[in-house]
Amino acid sequence: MSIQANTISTSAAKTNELGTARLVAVAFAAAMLFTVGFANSAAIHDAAHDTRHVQSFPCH
Amino acid sequence: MIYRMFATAVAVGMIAAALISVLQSSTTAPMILLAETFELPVELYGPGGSEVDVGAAIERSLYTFLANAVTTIAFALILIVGLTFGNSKPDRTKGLLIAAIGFASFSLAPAIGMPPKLPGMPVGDLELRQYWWISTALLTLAGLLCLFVQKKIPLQVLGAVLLVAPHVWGAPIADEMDSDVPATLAATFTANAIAMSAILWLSIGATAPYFFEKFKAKDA
Repeated sequence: MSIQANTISTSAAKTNELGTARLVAVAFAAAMLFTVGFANSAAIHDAAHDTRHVQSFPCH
Repeated sequence: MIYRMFATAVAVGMIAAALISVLQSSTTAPMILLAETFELPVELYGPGGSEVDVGAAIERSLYTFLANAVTTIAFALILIVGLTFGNSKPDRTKGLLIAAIGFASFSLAPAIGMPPKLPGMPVGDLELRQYWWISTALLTLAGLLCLFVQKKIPLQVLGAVLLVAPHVWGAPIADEMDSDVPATLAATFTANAIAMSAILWLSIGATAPYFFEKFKAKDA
């Protein structure tokens, strides 16, 4: 019984950890894409200029 | 798991960034430089392309590589999150399938309404185009998942509607179509740019499953 309970709680912890990892990964990806593709700062725009044109991110 | 995802994303992202940066340097980059010579003399943004300055050219390539790397690592993270869903093993077939969905959502669908353009070409309002790009990418992603990842008919119909919706709404367009950039150069650039995105997604789709398995042991 206690082994079963232990297995269930371990699997729940794993699911929880996977869910957190997915959220963190997607949040980082969104922030990175926003910076390279969309941020309005002139310095970032200049640095990412050619990438924006090739990746079809909206550019000037 | 977080370590495993990020380590994989950095590894495959750097490989893809190196690959497309090399390819871009002999395809799209010279076209951008050439197009910039047609731009109006009042250059508001970006490094000018008319003067030949080796130092500036190297600096520009370096920045482009960095921006490419951030982009590829971000797309790789999204692809890796996709690998963790479903019951099937995260093998190369699954990686390439997710890559196809990613390419369609983040490159092909936005390119239908707003094809990759050279500097100096007429474009619509920047903010509206950004909203349209983001909406189109997310709606296409949701639409493809509804269509191909589950089997309920009503949701599949909804998926088809989501796919078409942003194009029925229409992308913001420029008031005028005239440009000093030659049409053949623009068309070649668009085809090359979309091909670069395809290569990017193929590259991360093919390599991510390998590194994701490799970093599994270190993530215990």
